[in-house]
Amino acid sequence: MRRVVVVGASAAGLATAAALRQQGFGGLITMIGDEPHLPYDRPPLSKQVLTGQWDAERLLLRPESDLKAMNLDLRLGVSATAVDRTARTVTLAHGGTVPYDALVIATGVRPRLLPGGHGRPGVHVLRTREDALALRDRLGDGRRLVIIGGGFLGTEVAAAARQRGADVTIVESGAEPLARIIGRAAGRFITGIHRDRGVRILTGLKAETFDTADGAVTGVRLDDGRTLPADDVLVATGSVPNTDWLRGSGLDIDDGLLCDAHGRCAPGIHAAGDVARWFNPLFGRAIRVEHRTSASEQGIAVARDLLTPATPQPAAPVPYFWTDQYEVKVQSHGYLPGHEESAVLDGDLAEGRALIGYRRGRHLTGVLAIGMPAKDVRPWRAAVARRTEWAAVTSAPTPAR
Amino acid sequence: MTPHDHACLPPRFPQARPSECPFDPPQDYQDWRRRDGLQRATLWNGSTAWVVTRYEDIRAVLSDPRVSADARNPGMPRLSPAGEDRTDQEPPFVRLDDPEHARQRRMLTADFTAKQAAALRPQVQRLVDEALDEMVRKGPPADLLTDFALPVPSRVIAVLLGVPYDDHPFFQSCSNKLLDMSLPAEEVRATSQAFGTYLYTLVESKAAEPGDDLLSRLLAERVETGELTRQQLVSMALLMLIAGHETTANTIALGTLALLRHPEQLALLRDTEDPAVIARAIEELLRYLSVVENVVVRVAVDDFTLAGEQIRAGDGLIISLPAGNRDTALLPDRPNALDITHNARAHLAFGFGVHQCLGQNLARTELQVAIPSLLRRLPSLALAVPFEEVSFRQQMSVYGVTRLPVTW
Ligand SMILES: Cc1cc2nc3c(=O)[nH]c(=O)nc-3n(C[C@H](O)[C@H](O)[C@H](O)COP(=O)(O)OP(=O)(O)OC[C@H]3O[C@@H](n4cnc5c(N)ncnc54)[C@H](O)[C@@H]3O)c2cc1C
Ligand code: HEM
Repeated sequence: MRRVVVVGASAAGLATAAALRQQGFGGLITMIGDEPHLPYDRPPLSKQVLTGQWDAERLLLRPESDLKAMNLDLRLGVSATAVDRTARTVTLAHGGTVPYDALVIATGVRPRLLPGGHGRPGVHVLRTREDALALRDRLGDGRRLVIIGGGFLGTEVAAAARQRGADVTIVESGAEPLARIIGRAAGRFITGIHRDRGVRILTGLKAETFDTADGAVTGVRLDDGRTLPADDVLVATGSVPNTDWLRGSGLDIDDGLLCDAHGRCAPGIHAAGDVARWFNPLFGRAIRVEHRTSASEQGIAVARDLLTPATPQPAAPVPYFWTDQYEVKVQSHGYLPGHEESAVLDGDLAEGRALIGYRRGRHLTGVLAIGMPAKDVRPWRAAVARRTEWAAVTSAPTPAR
Repeated sequence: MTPHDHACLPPRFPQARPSECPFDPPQDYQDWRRRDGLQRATLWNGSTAWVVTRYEDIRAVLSDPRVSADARNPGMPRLSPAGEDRTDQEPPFVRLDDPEHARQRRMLTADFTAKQAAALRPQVQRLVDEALDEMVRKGPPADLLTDFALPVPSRVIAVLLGVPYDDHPFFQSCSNKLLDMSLPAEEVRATSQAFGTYLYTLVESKAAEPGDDLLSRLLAERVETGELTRQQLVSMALLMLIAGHETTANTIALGTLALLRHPEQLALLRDTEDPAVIARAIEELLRYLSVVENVVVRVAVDDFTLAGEQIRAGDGLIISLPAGNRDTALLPDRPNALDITHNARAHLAFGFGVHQCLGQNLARTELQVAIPSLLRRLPSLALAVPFEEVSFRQQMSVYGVTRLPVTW
């Protein structure tokens, strides 16, 4: 293997490249990214960047000179448009091709859009640095922000916008923001924090169209006929894997690139990060997680698999994410979507400090910690990793170390 | 060429410790300390800076708000070609001023209290015993530096931070190069970048597999909360990894050599069980050796007078801790002698002021365990080469021996 091509120059792509170099790979690494920026971190976009605490410089994952020292053939502001698996080349937007011995796909996801409205002043999504700076500059005292979608992104932005004094409404089509992922009790708790801070939350309603005047958005029309006046609207209704450029490649791109437990999706091709749906032996199926930590974990695992393919180490990682909701830190270990039951295993939501367990089948498949120190949560992560029986955690809810 | 060859140019900095007594500060520094005023010296690049050698002056400078430690300030003395010329990233907090310095340092203080250090003592003792067992098993002669003095503090800091000790050949060679003032800037830069890539990958992998270590905790509790950027965590890790082992290692090796040259004091330390006597002896070794030699630099950010000299904003200040630690103002009685009954507790080996060593409690524990354990385990410890053949680290930020062949 002499030439590795990484498509996507962000958390997962950079972790792959850094780990390859760190483990002594001396060959050529080409990293192709369609954003015109050096690799940067996204989680602060909806947090410190929106509140104005951080400027964009602080997002850089590595200083420029250190990236240079990694000796990367870094092609920024260029998108990959196709892969030819027979010739083993990647085609670039401006027409050139790049040959590879190994290809790593780390193209992430993009926001799912609502029909109509996008591109108009005042209508936002939040995925990139530009998105965050544009939204940041519009927030302020009394400015009306309507957020469509009460997931983690929507609720984090609501918190940041409230801190900037904006008037915030969340429109959620489900019964409770976040409930689909973390269950109703936890969802209700987090919703409660937002309501206490003055966020208006409308549930069971869908946004249908945007109202506009002079091309700019003035409001959002809901499916019950109501119109919410708005200076700005954030569409935060989930995301779509960036796999369009792989159409016709023969790769399985149904909800992300399907990979085995090593991140392999086809001979000579690996995928990592938000775009990848890795088989996880712990849960017995392939799951796609959009978590910052998984991006680097998978990137590092891919580098290892590229350098020592003869001794594969299948990964059975316990996914991890965190979210900040005002001063409350929420952390989760495991895989929560599609859970069949949840229960408070420690603490008490009424006291703002609780650990909630999630069951799918017979096992504890995930936990969510609200307002608990990381060290108290870690044993629960181990309990998920051990595939602890649900009956065991509900009867003696303190995990053995 | 001697420093006085050019009558018009101020003498050179840094200078070498005297070969007759390699534990002493360079003779010129001792002279400058005795003279009035402050000395100006010429650096490798022809620039000049004040050298501060007196105990009281050093304490004044290191606690003066008109003096900055921020590496980005113009006028900051650069002691070597590589001397921190990175402009594209924020320096580590040892090279920042308050309030940002204090904000970052506070995130670590709870892990470096005297209580924490005391709690680590059994673990340090175990690592010391293991290193001694291994050295004894291999049999004499040994290189005390690589067989004992380096592994002990490297293991301790690796465990604390959560750095795999298996990687020690890599991180030790990196630290060594980063402290080597004779290397060309390009090589030092390349080393710091490779070290950065290593630590970046390590920190990223900590997120996925969190352990009960300082880096995992800082990641979960400070990076994810937005209090630290990823880059700040990487430079914090780099600072602690380097500061946390080179200094202690060189104090252990050089200290053992100094004791071998003073057998009566060696015997005194070896034969006591009294923790107070041991503690006092370690403070004296820290003072007498002052291994942090070419590190502490500052720049004036306002005009003021010091020792009767007019210091102007933008003037560079170099602090000689070894010279200050031989001042009669610290120790009226024979400051140039090693005497483990001296009361040297107010020494400057850990610096002074807001940047005073964060790891000093840990360093004390390591030294108080390592040196007496070594002397007791190997009562017949002796140099395996004539003293004259021992070679010392010249042109290094942290002083010490390059090897220490011993037998028993
Ligand atoms: C606002 C926000 C807040 C978040 N907060 C959290 C949080 O609190 N906790 C958490 O765990 N996770 C959080 N996340 C998720 C986390 O940021 C992602 O999991 C992570 O960025 C995934 O990294 P990645 O490298 O897989 O993908 P990405 O970061 O999406 O990077 C993919 C890159 O590939 C580029 N690309 C796409 N297609 C092509 C192409 N054809 N050619 C070239 N380049 C291409 C993209 O432009 C992008 O630069 C947050 C995400 C966002 C947007
Ligand atoms: C014998 C051992 C040691 C000696 C002589 C020593 C000496 C020093 C000195 C002189 C400074 C001040 C630098 C300045 O003002 O510019 C310092 C700072 C520092 N030391 Fe040590 N050190 C030792 C061991 C350690 C250890 C074990 C650690 C462990 C982490 C450590 C971590 C630090 C850190 C983080 C700083 C920066 C503090 C700040 O800027 O606030 N040191 N040390």
